[in-house]
Parts: sequence; C-alpha cells; structure tokens
Amino acid sequence: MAKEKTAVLLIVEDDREMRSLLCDEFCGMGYQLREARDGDEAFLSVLQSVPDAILTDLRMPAGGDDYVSRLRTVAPQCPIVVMTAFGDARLKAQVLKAGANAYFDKPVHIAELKDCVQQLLNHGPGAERR
Amino acid sequence: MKDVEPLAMRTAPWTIPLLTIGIFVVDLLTPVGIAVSILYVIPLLLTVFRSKDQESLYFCGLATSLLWLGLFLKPPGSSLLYGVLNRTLGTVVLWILALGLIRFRRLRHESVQAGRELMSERVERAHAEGLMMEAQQARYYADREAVRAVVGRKEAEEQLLVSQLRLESIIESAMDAIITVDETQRVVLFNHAAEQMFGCSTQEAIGQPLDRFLPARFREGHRQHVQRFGRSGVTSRKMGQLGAVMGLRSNGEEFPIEAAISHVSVERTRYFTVVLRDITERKHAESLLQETTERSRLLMQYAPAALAMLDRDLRYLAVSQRWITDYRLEDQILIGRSHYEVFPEIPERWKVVHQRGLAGEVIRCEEDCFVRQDGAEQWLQWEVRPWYTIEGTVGGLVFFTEDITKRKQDEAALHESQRQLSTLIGNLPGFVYRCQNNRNWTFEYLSEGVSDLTGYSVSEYLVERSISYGDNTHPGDRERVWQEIQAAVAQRRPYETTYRILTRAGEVKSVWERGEGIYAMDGGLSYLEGFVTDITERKRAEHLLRQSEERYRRLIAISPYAIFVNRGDRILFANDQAIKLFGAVKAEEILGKSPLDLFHPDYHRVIQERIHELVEGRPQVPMFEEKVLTLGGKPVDVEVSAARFVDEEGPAILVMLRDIGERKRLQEQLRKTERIAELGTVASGMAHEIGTPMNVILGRAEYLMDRVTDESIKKGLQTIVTQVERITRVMNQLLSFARRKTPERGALDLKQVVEDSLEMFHERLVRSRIQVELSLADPCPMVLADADQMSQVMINLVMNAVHAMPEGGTLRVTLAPEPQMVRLTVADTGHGIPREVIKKIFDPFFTTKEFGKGTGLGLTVVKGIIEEHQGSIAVESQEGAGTTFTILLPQS
Repeated sequence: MAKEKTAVLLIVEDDREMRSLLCDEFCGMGYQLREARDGDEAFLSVLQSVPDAILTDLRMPAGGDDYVSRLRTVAPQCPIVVMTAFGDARLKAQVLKAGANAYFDKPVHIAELKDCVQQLLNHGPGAERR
Repeated sequence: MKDVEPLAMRTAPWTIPLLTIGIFVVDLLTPVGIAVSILYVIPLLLTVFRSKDQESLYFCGLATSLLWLGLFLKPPGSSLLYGVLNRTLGTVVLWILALGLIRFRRLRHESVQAGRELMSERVERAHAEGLMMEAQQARYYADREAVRAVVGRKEAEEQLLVSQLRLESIIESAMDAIITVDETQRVVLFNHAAEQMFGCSTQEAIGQPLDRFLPARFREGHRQHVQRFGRSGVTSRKMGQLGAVMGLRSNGEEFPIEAAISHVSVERTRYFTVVLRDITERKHAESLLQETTERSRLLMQYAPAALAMLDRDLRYLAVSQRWITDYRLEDQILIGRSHYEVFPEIPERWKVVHQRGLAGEVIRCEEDCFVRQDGAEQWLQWEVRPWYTIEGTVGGLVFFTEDITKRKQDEAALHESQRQLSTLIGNLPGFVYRCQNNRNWTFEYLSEGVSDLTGYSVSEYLVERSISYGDNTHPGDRERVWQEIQAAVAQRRPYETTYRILTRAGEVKSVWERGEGIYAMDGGLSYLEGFVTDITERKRAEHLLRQSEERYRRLIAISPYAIFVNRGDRILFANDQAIKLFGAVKAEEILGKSPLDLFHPDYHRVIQERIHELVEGRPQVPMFEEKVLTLGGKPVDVEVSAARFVDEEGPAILVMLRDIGERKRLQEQLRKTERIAELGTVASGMAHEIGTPMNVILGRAEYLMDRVTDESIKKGLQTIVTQVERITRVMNQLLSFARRKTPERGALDLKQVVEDSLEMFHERLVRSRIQVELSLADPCPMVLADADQMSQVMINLVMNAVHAMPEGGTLRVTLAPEPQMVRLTVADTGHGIPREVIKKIFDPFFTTKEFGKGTGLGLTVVKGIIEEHQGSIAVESQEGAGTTFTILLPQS
C-alpha cells in the first residue's frame, strides 16, 4: 500500500470548484496530487515529471483531443482519464483514439472515477469504462 | 300594155302567117345581099302573145327553113358568101330571140302561177262581160238601124246583115253559154258553148222549155224570178248578181252556174237572154283556196312557235297563239295594230333589223336579250324574214321568235352547277375517280387532287399510264383493299375503306375511300366510281387524341387527388381516390349524389357560391379548405379546387380534393419536433456550462454523505444526488435530439444490434426478473440503417419494457423478414397502455412513468429515428396484458 500512497495523480481542471472537489476526494485516497488549470499547465507539469496517472477535463483552455494526443506523446505509459461535460459518442471515440485510457461524461459519480483510477494504477493501462 | 295585150292576142293568129308569107315573098324578090330575112323577127316577137310556150320555137324553126329556102330558090350571084353570112347571122339572132322569149314567158308564167286560176277567171269574166256589152251594142245598132230603115232600107238591111253576122259569130265564139228564151221560156237561141255545157245539141235544145236545164227544185222559183225580172224594167243584170244557181246537164248531173240575164222586146215579143258560166271549176278552186287559207290560218295560229306576220308598215296580219302567250298579250287586240305600238320598248337596233328585212334580207339571231317595259328580261332566238306579194315585192315581214329565257336560265344554272361541281372537286382534299375493276385500278377519269395526294400527275395515270393506283397502294394493304372492294361489288353495295398509300416522295399516307360499282344495262360491272381523301392528319390527330385521352385517364386514375365531375348538381364521375376519400367501396355509392350531400353542412353556403360562380362562366375557383363527410359521416379536412369545362353535353365542373388530415397531423408533429429540436440546441449550448457545476453538486453531496452520520442529512444529500441524476437524464435526452447527426446508413445486421443491446441490459433484466425470449430469423436480411441510432432505438424500447414490468414478465424480441422490409417487434407482458393515452405515447414529454423515472422523450426519439429511416413504428397495447411495438425498416 505504501507504493500506492506515493502514486502521483495529476488533476487538470479549469473549474476551481471541480478541481477542489477532485482534490478533496483523491487526497483522502492517499495519492500525491498535482494540479493544473489548463492544458498548457498540464503539459508543462508532465514535462517536468510524468505522473502515475492523469485525470483531466477536456473542454478548457488549451484543451481538446489534440491536447490528449500531446500528453500521450510526452507520457506514453501514463494512464489518462478524460472527463467532459455531456460529451457524445463521437467525442468519446476521438478521445480514446487520441490515447486516453478512460472517458467519463460529467456529471460523473466521483466513486466511479475513483474506481477507474484505482484500477488503472493497479493493472496498468487498458482498462476502459464508459 | 294591158290594153295592147288582148288586142295583140286576138290579132296574132292571123297576123303571124300573113307577115311570114309577106316577108318570104319580099325576100325572094330582093337580091341576096340585102338582109330582108331579119324581118322574121317581127312575127317571132308576135308569138309572145300566143298561149303556147313552144310556139316561138316552132315559128323560129319555120322561119329558119324559109330563110334558107329563099337562098336556094334565088339565083346565087356574086354575093353568095355575103348572103350566107347574113342569113347565118339572122338565124342566130332568131334563135337567141326565140330562146329569150321562152325564158321570159316561163318567168312570167311562174310569177303569176299562184293567182292564175283567179286571173283567168277574171279574164274570162271580163271577156264574157265584153261580149255582153258588144251584144247590147250590136242590139243598139240593130235598133238604130231599124229606125234608120225608114230612111234607107237597103242600107239598113245591109247594116243589119253585117250586124247579124257579127252577132252570130260573137255568140258562136263566146266561151259562155248564151241561151235566149221567149216569153214562154222556150229556147230560141242555144250557142255552141251552151251545147257543151249542157251536153245537148242546138237542134235538140231549140223549142225546149228552159226548165229542162234546171234541177226540178229550182224550176218554179226560177220561172217566177224571170217574170219578175221581165216586169222590173231593168234591162240587164250582171253576172253573179243572180247568185249561184244550179244547172242540169242532159246526163242529169248538176253543176253550179253563174248567170247574167237581160231581156229585150222585139216586135212585142219579149226575149230573155241568159249568159251562163259553168263555175264548177271556180267553186272547186274557191273551196280549195278557202281550205288552204283555213289550213294556213290554223297552222299559223297553233304553230308551236311564236310567229307573227306583218305588213310593210309592221302592222299585224296574223300571229300564232304562242306569240300571244310568249309576249303576254292575251288582253290585247293585235291584228291591224303596229308592232311598235304593241311593243314600245323595241330597241333601235331591232328597228334597223326590220328595215333590212323589208329590204329583202333574212336576219337571224341565236341569242338576244329583250328588255321588256316592266324591266323583265326575255332571251329570244329570232328570225326576221320578208314575205313577197304575187307581184314579187316585199309584202311585209314574218317574225319567228323563240323564248329561250328558260333555256338560258337552265343553261346558266347548269353552267353554275358545273362550275360549282368543278370548284368543289378542285378544292376537295382528295380526288374523285372512275376506274376499271382490276388490281391496277386503271383510271378512266381522275380529278386534279390526285397529284396533291400521291405526287403523280393526272396525265401520268391517264395518258402515259406510267403509274397505277394499284402500285400506289401500300403493299401491306393491297390484298385487303382488293378483297373488300370485290366483296362490296359482288353484293352491289357501296364500299368504304381506309388504307395506306405510298407517295412519289416515298411518304406513307393514310387515305379513306368511298365508292361504288356502276353497272351496265345488262347487269355487268362497268367501272367503279368514288372518292379518296387524305386522312393522315386525322389519323395522326386521332392517335394523338387517343394518347392524350389515355394520358389524362391515367393521370386521373393515379392522381393522389380525389377527383369528381359534377354536372347539374349530380356527380357523374369519381376516381378511385374520391371513392376512397368518401369512404365508399364502389363508385355507384357516390355517383348520382348531389355534391352538397358529401360536404360538411358548415360549408354548403360557400360551396353553392363557388358552384354558382363556375356556372356563371368563371373558369376556375381558387383552392379552398373545406370539410367533406364520408358516407359514414366522418368529417375529413380537404383542400378543394374546381374548374369549369364544357363538352358536347354542356358545362360541368371538375372538382379536385386533397385529404389534408394527414398533412395537418404531420404539420402538428413537425411543429412539436421543431420545438424539441430547439430545446435540444439550447441544451447543447448549455451542456458544457452546466455539466461541471452539476458534477460539483453531485460530487459534493456524495463527498458529504461519506462524512456525515446523521441520517436525515444523508437523506437530504441523497435527494440532491437523485435530482442531479434526473437532470442528467433529461439533459442527455435533449442532447440526443440536438446532436442528431446525419445518420450514416449502411447495411446493418439488426440481429447483432439486438443482441448487443440485450447484453447491455442483462444485469438489469435479471434483477427485474424479466425473461427474454428471442426469435431472430437467421439469416435475416440486412437493413439500411445507422448502427448507433438503431442501438438507441433498441435501448429505449427495452428500457420501456423494463419499466412496464416492475413485477417481472417476459420480453419478446422478434426479427423477421417482410417483403422489402424487416420487422422488429419488442413485446412486453407489462401493464399496458390505457386506450386514451396510446395516441400520445410518441408525443414529446409525454410520460406515464412515475415522477423522476422517464423523460417523456424516449419514444419520441425512437419514432423520429425510425421515420428518418423511411420505416414505420406502430404500437399495440392491451391494458394489463402488455404492449407490442412493431418496427418496419427497409432492407438494404
């Protein structure tokens, strides 16, 4: 479990309240959290050091599916979980194609997110849920 | 001349021989050189007065003989040649003269031939009168001599003797019978002519009573008559004054006589001398003349020609009945009136003609127009001919005219009719013909129209014979035309046929022919006569018309509009759509009805107005929304337009109706769908903005729930979570509208979609104790559809079924092929849908689910998707027994 406690999770979210919520939730889970407020910040953060997992919003400044591909290039092994407000099937397909490991439509139950991140960290990339 | 003639005639018989002998003697005595013989001319000229024609010739012969005899008897001497010459000349002159005389006599004889009988009568009568006069004169002399006897007896006796001799010779030579009777009427004198007349010799007659020479019935009357005459003191009564009396010949024959009587007293004895003339011949001639006159009068009067005879002053002498009728002169007296008085309108040119006629010319005219005074035109054929008197002068004119007005009119009418016929034939769009009944149809007569029709000239058919009509006939029709005409000819009926011909230009034309056989007296067929006309255009027009009719018939038959025809407030015709619209099965159910019976009463007034406008002549009325009533009484919204048309039966109205109920329904639905789509668009715009806040609310609530122990707070937080979930569902449905992309349709295996969807719901179905029964045709035709949309349809239907069976049940999903379609049914055994809401289940935001469970959009989305795929969805439901959705989708 010690190993788990040291897992680094990058949370990328432009909405302050949402970021705060996520931080509160995942902090309680014992992850080491890093935060970014937009795509550029996230990219810089990953460049500095690749986290164990990335939980990111999509529709934000410097976001979008391009942003996911760019992240994937700099962090090829890092699980990426994407969530976006009321996405559709096409967006989901694009995101997954761009290299995301999981996709969630907002509003999402935080519990589901937690489960997903936990699984990704435990089993490595590949797990995918709606 | 007239005085000389009788004298010469009387003296000629003895003068001629005396002169001849005298001349012969003188000729003998004179020398040869002197041409005394020419004197024979004198007696020759005197022969003119002799009665016989040939006498001049005989005399000429005699004179010639004497002339040459004289030459022989005389001593020849030196001038013999001269003598022969002058005698020859003399002979020639004599003969020329003799021949000329004969010719002259003959001419005169001819010119007086007609009146000869009367003339001779007149001459004889004059002769007899002359004798009478002389007899009286002789008696006068006798009387005077008797008186003178006292003075010189001897002289008187001599004179008396001379006178008696003269009288006797006169009496004997008289041509009339002269009979003298005494007072007792016994005959004392009976001359030679009387002997011949009565056939009785003088010896027999002398002393006989005069009665003997009269028929018994006249005897008494005659005796008294003679005695009355004797007492009258009149000494003589001329010939004819006694009137015609009858004589009696000794052989008993009666004959008419004309008598003159005179009486004289000699020594107190009264003698009556009658001069009698047998007028049998004259009577006969007279009656003959009368008969001839009567005959010519009748001939003239009743001649079947207009004839008029006029004198030199153009006064009418005689006219034919026809003249009177032709010139409408019934009420006029013509004889004696002038032609110009009767016809004041006679033109100058005719007066000239009359003058020429009077000058001896015969003038004819075949055609002349006589304009009558009343303006009427009379066409005449006339001839003006002079007639001659016995003297050979023009006595006047004979007009012969014929009224040819009728003939002229007939000719004009005939001419006009021929002209019309020829114009008619010339203008016919075809030709008339007479032909022989053979396979070439050899023409004997042909009108000009043939060249327009076939391109060959009349002369090519009739003169050169370089083409035959048999050749013109289209090979495909030749035999049929031949057979048809032969059949008609055999039955002696006219034939009528239609066939094709080939023109010179190679064109095919359709023609119509009508004709008939013309038969000879013996019943054999002489030839065929008929008429051929071009009907190519008509055929083409007929064809086009048929095509057009067919087109319109089909148009009406397949028209999506209900169409009916209204005439005189009765429906005459209705197409299938109309029958369907009015809820009828057969046309008879609505034919004959008044259109008003078929319309909703609210519209009767406006319909009547529209019908009135159309009947008044407006060609059409604009589209108008009305309501009809089906036979079952159900109102149907329709759009009606109507147009007026006129055919041979009069005006009628064509009414077209369109059922707009469906359209109205669609419009309504569209309106609703549009509303939803708008909402979706709004939702789509909002989605991102509300997604994150909702997630914050949801997350915070769940976060707090994990950290509070107070159940009431937990319950409150749970409500927040539930409500956010509900908002999320609604948003998702709205977004699925808003985000409907153009379906990417392709061949899709519905079976896979069904299986995937059920797999997705597997856990849920198990939890809800729902059995799944699948009946999927394998293989099942692919459908043309979008995979995602089909998944959504399936998910929505299965969700519905699950919600309908909260207590569990059976979900039956079947997939089966249909013609060109694939049928997908999703049936549950749930609570069913109440009848009153079943129509609304596809309406947006309609839901029967309890608050919070349904969005009211699920089935709306399903219907939208299926209809986008040209498919259909239907629902059947029985309350308490379950609901079945049936979807039909087109095969790929």
